[in-house]
Amino acid sequence: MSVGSGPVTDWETMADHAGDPSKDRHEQVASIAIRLCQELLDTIMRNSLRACRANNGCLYQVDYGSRELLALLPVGEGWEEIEEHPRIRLFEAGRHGITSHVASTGTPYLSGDVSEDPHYKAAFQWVKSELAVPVKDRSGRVIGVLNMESREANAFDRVHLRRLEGLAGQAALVMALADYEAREKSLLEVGKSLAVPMDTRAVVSDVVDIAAVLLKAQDCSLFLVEDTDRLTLRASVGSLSRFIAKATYRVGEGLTGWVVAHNQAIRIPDPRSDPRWRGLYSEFPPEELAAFLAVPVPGREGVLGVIRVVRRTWPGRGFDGEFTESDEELMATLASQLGVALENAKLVQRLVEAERMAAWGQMSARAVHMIGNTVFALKGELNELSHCLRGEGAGQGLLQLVERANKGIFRLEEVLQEFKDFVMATRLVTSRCDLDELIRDVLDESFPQGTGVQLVEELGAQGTEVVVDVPKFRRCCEELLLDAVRALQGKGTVTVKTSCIGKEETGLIGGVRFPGGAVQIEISDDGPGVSRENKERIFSPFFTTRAQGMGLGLSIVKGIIESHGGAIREVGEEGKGAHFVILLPRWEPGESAHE
Amino acid sequence: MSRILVIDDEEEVREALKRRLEREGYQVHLADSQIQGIEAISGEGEPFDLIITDMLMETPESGIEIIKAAAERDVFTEVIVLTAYGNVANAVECMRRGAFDYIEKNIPGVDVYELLTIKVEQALQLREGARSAFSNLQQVGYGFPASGQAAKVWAKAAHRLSESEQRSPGRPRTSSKGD
Repeated sequence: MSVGSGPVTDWETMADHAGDPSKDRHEQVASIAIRLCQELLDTIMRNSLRACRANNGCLYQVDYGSRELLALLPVGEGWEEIEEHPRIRLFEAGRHGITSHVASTGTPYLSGDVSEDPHYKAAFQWVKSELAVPVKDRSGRVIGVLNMESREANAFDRVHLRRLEGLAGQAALVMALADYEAREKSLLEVGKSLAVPMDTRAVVSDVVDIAAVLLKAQDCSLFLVEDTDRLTLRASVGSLSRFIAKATYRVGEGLTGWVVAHNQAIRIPDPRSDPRWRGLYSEFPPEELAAFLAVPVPGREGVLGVIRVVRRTWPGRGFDGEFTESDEELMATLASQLGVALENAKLVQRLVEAERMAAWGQMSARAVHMIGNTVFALKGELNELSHCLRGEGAGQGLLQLVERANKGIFRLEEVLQEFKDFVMATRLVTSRCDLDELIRDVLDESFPQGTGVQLVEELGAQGTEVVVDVPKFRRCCEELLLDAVRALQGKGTVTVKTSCIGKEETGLIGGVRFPGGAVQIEISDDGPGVSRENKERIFSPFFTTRAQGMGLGLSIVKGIIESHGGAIREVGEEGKGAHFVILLPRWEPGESAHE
Repeated sequence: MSRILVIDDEEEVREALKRRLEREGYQVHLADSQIQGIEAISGEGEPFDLIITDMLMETPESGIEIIKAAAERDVFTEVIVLTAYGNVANAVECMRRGAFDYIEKNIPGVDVYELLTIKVEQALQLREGARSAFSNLQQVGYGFPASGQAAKVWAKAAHRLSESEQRSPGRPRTSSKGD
């Protein structure tokens, strides 16, 4: 192997060894990487010793995450004397050794007499001279230090320095190779795990972990689009993790929001100087943000979210924290795999839900049949009983008993009807109608009078038409209105609003798409509202917080709305009242109105 | 005395119906399945005046099979389908095939037994009307073969049409009976 040919230029770019917060992961990846290229590095180190006629030396690797230099490959004498390889602090005031100094400045250093040297920190007692050169990647970033030590004073000169620089270049190349192999392995692993449909939370958490490692970034966060115009933080490695589910951006807001709005990546070295920067949720103090890379997560019909990675800046020059084009490509690959995985997960979830509903439906049909026959026979017997009693001139008491029994039967029949409705919720017979007129009718007929509860109507759909199964839709509104009135217990206001949402404003609302625009119906009250943990559960079959009733009501409502191609959500604030939002597709000319 | 056949796979339902119908003065026979029902329909003896049948027995279409068997045996036998679990599609199918009516066993607030009694009466009247329309035609001698199935169906249809015209007086009368 040739020795000392000057700094190597123009090899493939690689990410630098910036440490990441999950040390284990990094060490795992780093150790795989280094092992693979062990032989090559061994050769380089032996050549270094010979070329510099040194007694010992070491190849160090920069760990940006922990701000330390790790001794990777020691060669030569004396290492047996030391129990533990020294971990050298970086970026701190004080004397931390020549290697630390070289790492911080990015320039080589030669000392003929270490006893006089301001930077030297002794590891071995017999060292008189030291020579250290930085190991840099293609973008000039320091990724390690190669140092040589000698028992003799003034053992190293400029020739040795140039030779060592050349070898440092070779070492950089090998480390880059190792890094690529590690990246490839990680990507394959990620690919495999993303291909298996699993819990969204696990998927996003895995992805940010891997992205942070692969890109040697100090932080990685993932935001998902959860309403037409908002992104919410769903996974994060690092300081933002305590804001998961709480941190949100509006689409278009800040660098992160911009990525989603324009479906384009952003890769910049100084986020603060960018006019789009808002600094809303920052992983580090703004002055420490060195490099920013955010890529959109693509879905089949739009952007699902954004992954962003950031690198921290360190006092001292020579550390170029910029993300490269290759980094951006890597992130884009990861993001597209994630997009597929997220959509798969959603599909699977919807399938599971549909299956569950179908199972409930089957059970209900069976139950209705069996219970129905028994109730029918019971009615016959009661009928007979009252006929006999009247025939024999029975007293009022007995006849009243029969009456009460009949009332019980009536209630049973109502329960049965609920079951039947549950099964029939998905079978629609539709017609076209003006939404506001329909709502007005429903309110006139079904809003309970004389309860002390006020009704406020704000019908603003302006003639927009919808295609609905009128009796079933009416039933949905009635259910929600009665629930609201019940919750208010005679005091308060129920507000019913309608409005239109144009094609441009809808994207993904509540998990459903409305390419032709939608109408929005809101039914809200100022009662106690729905607690956060119940917001989704209230739509499950048999969920009820009341003593009476089977709890099928809202699940029937949801079934009906969803069969219309719509969506329903509860978005009120606990303590401030319930707020149900129903979305239905608008009728467009050209669509058939009948099933 | 009119003879009614009740077909249902639940014993308590059969008993309840039998009790009420006998109280109203009808002769009631029972069958506990589609198979037994068809046996009774096509068996010896006079055809039944009216058949009340459940829909879901051996199969979800058992009611339809009963309607078919009844029509084959005697066009003038009326069929009422009485079901625990109704749906529009089934109802339409039954009516298309000539059922007299399709009633659900449990409708909140409705006394089904009262309703059934009224329907039974109506069905039996219709049956009588159709049968006498047919024998009138035979007597008048329009040249129909005396026992032709087609002739019977025709007579029944004609009678039904005139019945329904009478029940909805607003509709214009386009032709008189027998056209």
